[in-house]
Amino acid sequence: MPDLTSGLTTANGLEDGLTPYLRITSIAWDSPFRNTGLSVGDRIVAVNGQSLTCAADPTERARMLSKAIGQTNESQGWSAAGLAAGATISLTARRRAASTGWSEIVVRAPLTEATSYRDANNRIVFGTGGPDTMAYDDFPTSWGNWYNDRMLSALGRALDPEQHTGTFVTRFEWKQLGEHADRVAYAVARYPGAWSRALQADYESACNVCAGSKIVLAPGALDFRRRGEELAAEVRAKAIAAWDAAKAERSAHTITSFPAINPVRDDVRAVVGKLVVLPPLANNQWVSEAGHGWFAAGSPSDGWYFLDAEAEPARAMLYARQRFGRMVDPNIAAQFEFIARITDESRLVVINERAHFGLLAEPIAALVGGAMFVDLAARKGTEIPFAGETVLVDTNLKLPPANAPPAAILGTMIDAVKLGDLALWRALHADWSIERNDEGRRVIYPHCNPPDDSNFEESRRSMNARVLDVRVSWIDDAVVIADGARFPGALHIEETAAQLEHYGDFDGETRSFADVTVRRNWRLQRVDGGPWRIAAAQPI
Amino acid sequence: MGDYRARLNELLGQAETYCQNLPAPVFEGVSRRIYEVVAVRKAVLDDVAASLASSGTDSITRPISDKCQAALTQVVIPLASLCNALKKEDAEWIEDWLEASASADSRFFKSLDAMGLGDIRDQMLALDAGLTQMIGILDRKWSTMSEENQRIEKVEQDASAQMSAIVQKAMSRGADAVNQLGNLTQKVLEPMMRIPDLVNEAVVYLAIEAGVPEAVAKLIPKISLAGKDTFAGAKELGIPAGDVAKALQFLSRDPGMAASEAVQRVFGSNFEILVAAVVLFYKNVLPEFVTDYRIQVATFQSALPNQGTILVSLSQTRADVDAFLENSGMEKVQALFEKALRALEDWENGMPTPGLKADAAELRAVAKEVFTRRFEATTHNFEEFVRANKGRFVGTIEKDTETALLWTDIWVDRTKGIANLGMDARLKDWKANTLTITDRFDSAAQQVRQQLIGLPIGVAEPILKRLDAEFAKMRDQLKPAVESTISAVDATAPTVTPEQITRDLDRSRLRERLYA
Repeated sequence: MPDLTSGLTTANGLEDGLTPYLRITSIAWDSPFRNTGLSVGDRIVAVNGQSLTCAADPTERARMLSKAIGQTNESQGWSAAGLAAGATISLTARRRAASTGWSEIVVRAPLTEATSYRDANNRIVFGTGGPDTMAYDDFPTSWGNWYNDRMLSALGRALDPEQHTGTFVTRFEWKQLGEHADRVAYAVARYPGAWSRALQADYESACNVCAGSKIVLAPGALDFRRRGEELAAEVRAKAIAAWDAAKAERSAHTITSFPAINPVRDDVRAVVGKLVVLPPLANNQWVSEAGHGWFAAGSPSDGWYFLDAEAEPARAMLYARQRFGRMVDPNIAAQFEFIARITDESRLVVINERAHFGLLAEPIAALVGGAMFVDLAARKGTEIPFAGETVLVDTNLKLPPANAPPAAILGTMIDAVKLGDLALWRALHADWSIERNDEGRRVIYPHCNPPDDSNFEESRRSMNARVLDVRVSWIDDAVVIADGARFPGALHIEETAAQLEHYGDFDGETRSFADVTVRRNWRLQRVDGGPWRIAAAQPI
Repeated sequence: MGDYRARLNELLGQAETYCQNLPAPVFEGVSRRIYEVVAVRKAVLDDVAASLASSGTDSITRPISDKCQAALTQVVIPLASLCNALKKEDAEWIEDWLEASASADSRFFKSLDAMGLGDIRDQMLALDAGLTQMIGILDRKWSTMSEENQRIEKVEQDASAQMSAIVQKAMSRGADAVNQLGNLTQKVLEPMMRIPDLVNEAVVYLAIEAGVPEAVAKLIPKISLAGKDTFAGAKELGIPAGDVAKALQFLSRDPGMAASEAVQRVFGSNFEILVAAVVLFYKNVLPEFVTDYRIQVATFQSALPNQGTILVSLSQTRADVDAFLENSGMEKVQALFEKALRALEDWENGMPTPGLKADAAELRAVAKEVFTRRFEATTHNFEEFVRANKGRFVGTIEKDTETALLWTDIWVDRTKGIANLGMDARLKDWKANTLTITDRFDSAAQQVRQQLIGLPIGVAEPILKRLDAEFAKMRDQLKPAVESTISAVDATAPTVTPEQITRDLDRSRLRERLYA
């Protein structure tokens, strides 16, 4: 008995807790569902009005799945349902709506028998008028190999949005597809018919997806970059001025740095409490000794000053440098200049295979990378703003109101990245973590998940390089992941998925793109009806 | 590397049981696939074992996990696909068997991955590398500490040697000076006894000069014997009273001159030399000694803070080592080792089939040997670490470390050595000697006076008056010189008492710091 087929292939989504589905991964060129409005990526949720379900028993589920529409043994499923070739079936499918949630369509088409097309010479061909699958027509591969092995997988990757994960690179795929343009055109011209029409339609759709949607940026859309450069210049100028002032102000207490007093050879009393301005220290002068870091200034002949890289002043400076990297310039040089106070303590530190005695000095001001200044004498613990930081913080951006929708949260996050508003960016992220416990129940761990500022830094780097703009393209329906009904005080947690579209410059055009450097898929959560917050810890 | 044939034999045995009724080509295909799968499986397990045994610094956590994941593809999926291929044979039990086999092998590799052996090996290796690094750091630190300490020790030792030399030199110079003083004093005091004779000679001479008959004049000293009346004495000697009166009349014109001349003749420049010698003893020997000595004491003491700095570094390093051992010590290595052994045992026990269990036991044995070897190597490394640093950077400070850094016993001997030179006793002697110079002078002057006191009244009085004046003048010169010297000795004495020397060379604070 010939196999019955819908001409679709599907991927399993039956385990989806809310709406079990089978996702369409391809529509065969001769599928009766072509031109019905069904698209690759649509989620079939019902067949002939009957919703798809997911059996609790894994074995049963596997058996059911193999006989479902678009699966290996779908023919057995149709036969079991008493259907024969020509029987019309209706499919209810969900697809992403334009900006929010889902839309549903219902399409109908008959089942057909799986057909092997042959020409007059009994050669296997792609439909009536289609090419012999074994023919080459001067191409390096046969039509069968080319279409079945290469085109179908390329088309599937491009047309199925679910395959557009972090490793999907639109411009690469677009370029790869471009290499097939001549053959597609040849097929259309040489073998007019249903197969070549379907091939051409799929190919063009795939090319359009991979080329990205084209937009025109509004005037001033890139002002954030200029503003960033201006602010960076302003902050640098402030840093240099503050550094010079700090040196001048303390000059009366400053002694010549080198040669440094050797604490085991000289009398240190004369220099204790005095200040020294240390020469710029590069990365290689940052010594790690059994896990403990030291800034080491000096040489065996001139003596040494050691600054504890793990004490509060240095940590405060390094935190400030991190913020500077995120807010002003991620490429700030790892070069450290210090005004340091000589303490009455000494240290023995191994440098270049030899231990050296040196004076322990406490940094009281630092200039980093010639661009960032911190007055460490004014710090509270490890908190100290770098010179000009307050200017940067004032972006006029505001936290959206508590009832703002997820799209507004993501939009504000994008603005915060553009303008370098780290505090606002942090505030838009969930500081909780939701995990499943042993019983499979979701448990919230509040205030345990501070946003990782390095994601802000990488986002800034992207926005100042390849990414010209980022827009919210779609927001999923919110789903309840913890109903808060299990016990008094239990939390009600909602979650939604979102998609961002990234735009870059390609041959003078601004087009959307995806690659490993940008993140399209996002997640937001809210607890007990509170404000939506971004739960995906990732850069833009 | 293991054979891992138990699972192969198990699968082949089951294939024979379940598939014997299948057509021969199908049965052969099943067997071939089983051989293929098991060969891949062995390669994966050998890879895992080799990774565990490797000593490279690259992490093997991910590679091992990748190997296990790859095994799921290379072993489990082929078994599952075999299952699909046999479906058309319409034998559900074969399907069940192969599904169960795939599931069991899946469990084998998933739980192998979940054990985290790669991570445990990485951590053990990192701890071992940290230990090796720490050994190097401590070795270099100790080298620098020792070098610097020896340099400081030499400064201190040189200073103490100088102190000793200065004391000895001062004692030698002092001894010479005291001898010289003794000689000079003798030179002054002995001739003093000649003063009465000289005065008498002068009186006789002056009387003759004044016209007194020589015979009478020579008798005048005789009549001046102490305690006798002049004229009565003259009468006893048969000297006419007129002559006596005549002589006395003359002598009374300038009798004191005789005394002055006698003093001049007796002392010459010796008295000034004596006074000068006393002054020089005070000026040259003692102040120079004190200055030189204190300079060396200061040199010694100024080196102590530098040495203290080394001891502080020792304490800091010991604290670093404590922290290191707390975070990275053998307890942690042991915990990891035991975790690995426990995980391997649990893994083996959790295998669902005897064949898998036997293969797991084989890998467990290989892995156990690898982990044991690594643990033993780290233990050995740690023991070396402790052995090299025990009593120094690890555990209680031991005597060897104290000796190496403070040389305590040697310094006790050095201190005693300087104290035993006996400079303080010598100073007492010098003081006593100096003090007697004035007394001896006074005593001699008194004797001279006694001898002249019997001169005729009118002669004796001016002579004695003049002598008193002369002696007083000399005493006025001698006394301040002596007193200055005594003061200098008194001022010097506290510098060289054994207690002060012990205080000056005191290293007890260093010792306290060492053991703090």
